[in-house]
Amino acid sequence: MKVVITGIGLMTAFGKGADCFVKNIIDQKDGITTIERFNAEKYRGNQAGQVPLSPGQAWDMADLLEAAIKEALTDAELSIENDATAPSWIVGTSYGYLIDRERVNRAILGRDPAHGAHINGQIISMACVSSTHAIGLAKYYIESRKADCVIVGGVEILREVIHAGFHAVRALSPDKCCPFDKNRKGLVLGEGAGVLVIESQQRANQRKAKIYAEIAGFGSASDAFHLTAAIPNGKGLEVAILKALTQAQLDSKDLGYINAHGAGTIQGDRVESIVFQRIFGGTKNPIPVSSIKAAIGHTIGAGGVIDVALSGLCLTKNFLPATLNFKEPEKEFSLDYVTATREKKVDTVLSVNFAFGGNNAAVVLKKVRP
Amino acid sequence: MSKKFLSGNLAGKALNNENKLILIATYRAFIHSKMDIKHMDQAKISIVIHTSFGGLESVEQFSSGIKKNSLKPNSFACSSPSVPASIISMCWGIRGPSLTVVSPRFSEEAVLESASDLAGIDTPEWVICGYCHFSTLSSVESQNQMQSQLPDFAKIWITKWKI
Repeated sequence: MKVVITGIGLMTAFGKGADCFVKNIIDQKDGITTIERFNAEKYRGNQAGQVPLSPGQAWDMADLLEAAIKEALTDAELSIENDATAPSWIVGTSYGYLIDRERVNRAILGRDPAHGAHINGQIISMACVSSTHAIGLAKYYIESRKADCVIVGGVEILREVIHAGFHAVRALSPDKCCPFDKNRKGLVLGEGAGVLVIESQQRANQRKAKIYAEIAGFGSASDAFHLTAAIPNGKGLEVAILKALTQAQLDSKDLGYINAHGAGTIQGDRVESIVFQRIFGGTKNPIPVSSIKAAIGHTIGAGGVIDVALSGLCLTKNFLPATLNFKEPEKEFSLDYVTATREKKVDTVLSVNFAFGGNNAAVVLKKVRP
Repeated sequence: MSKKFLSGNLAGKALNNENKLILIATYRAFIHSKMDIKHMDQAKISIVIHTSFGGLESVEQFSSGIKKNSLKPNSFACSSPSVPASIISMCWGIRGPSLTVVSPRFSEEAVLESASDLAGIDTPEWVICGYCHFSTLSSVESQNQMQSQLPDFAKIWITKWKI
């Protein structure tokens, strides 16, 4: 059974909506601004990708998630007639106990659930791979007929405790974030929400829904190495990618584009390049690689869904996004780092994420032809 | 608990009470199961943990460090709800996928259902299952009486998945 994405909703540093997101990504803009929500001057970095606010407005996680859910449901033209046909939901975020389950139910139904109604929802908290794992679970739910349709979300909000935490572990960049550049100094945080509507291709065709992409493969593995650092040989990430490629029945040489985690950290980006070179290197036509973290910041638990949404949009709108602020790679890597937006048709995309605690996850998307 | 399980990167001082309790529970589960993990394929073992406020104790410690201008990286590193699964993975070299679900309710059935989901996306031979709850200042002060009345606990069991 093919599992497909039929709806996308995004709230990012560029503002509300997937259209606004894509336009800014293609135009190579960034949404990184000076932090005003708390005093960040005392930290190594004082900038972040913040969702724009109107004067007097304040976002919380549920607001961001709700806005993205509504956009995704509208985009998928999904009408939920009664509570019994409500889709399941899986939300990934770094601190799951902060999610208001009732608000998620309300956002999906557009009203309060009927008394005694049960909507199947769960929260995954696995740091930066939280929502990537949610996608893998949703794929399984559809394939196993555990659900007809799953709303998969990722959400994160910029809070001082997280910013200070990344400062404490020396991961913040004092300057602009420049993933994969040889002079990179660290990451810039971001906030936002991403939501995908996931269902079987058969169901999508029956209701004549547009299809962004097939979720063809998912893989995950653990490093068993360190709480905050990736294993230097990248073995866990490599295993996760190979599992996703195998499940997608895709040969590494046939991959079209890699949407990298590329947070801009010195060690993380290096590990990622090592793994990409080991799996995809040595070919006549290197596979293009890029990361959007310099444009919207590292959105932690929301990053997986936002990255996969971007990957689906790349397949339908025929472009590859640039890694902003990238100037020069490290000498030993001969990867095709995308430095300016490319107009290019690709049929397959690999999206990868890895996280504190040694969690790695990868998703393979394939273009679906009408 | 044997010191060998708290060596290297897992020095006892780096772990909060929650994670120490998780390690003790897992250690006892391994003893009870008589598994010889050193001679098993650790890539074929997965971990599923359900937690309520996992990591919140460390978030609170770290937050108080912000006010005092004394940031402790270890507190931040232990603040994610997925840390219990990660330290089990690090301690016993388990390289299969792990899954951490934040849930307000605890039951073996719910954890086994998550284990079944994980087995659907991977092919583990064994799954280390468990749930844990730890009271924190926030949870005690919150209006969520069900949570605050629970004692601190960690329960871990090992399930042979592929028979």
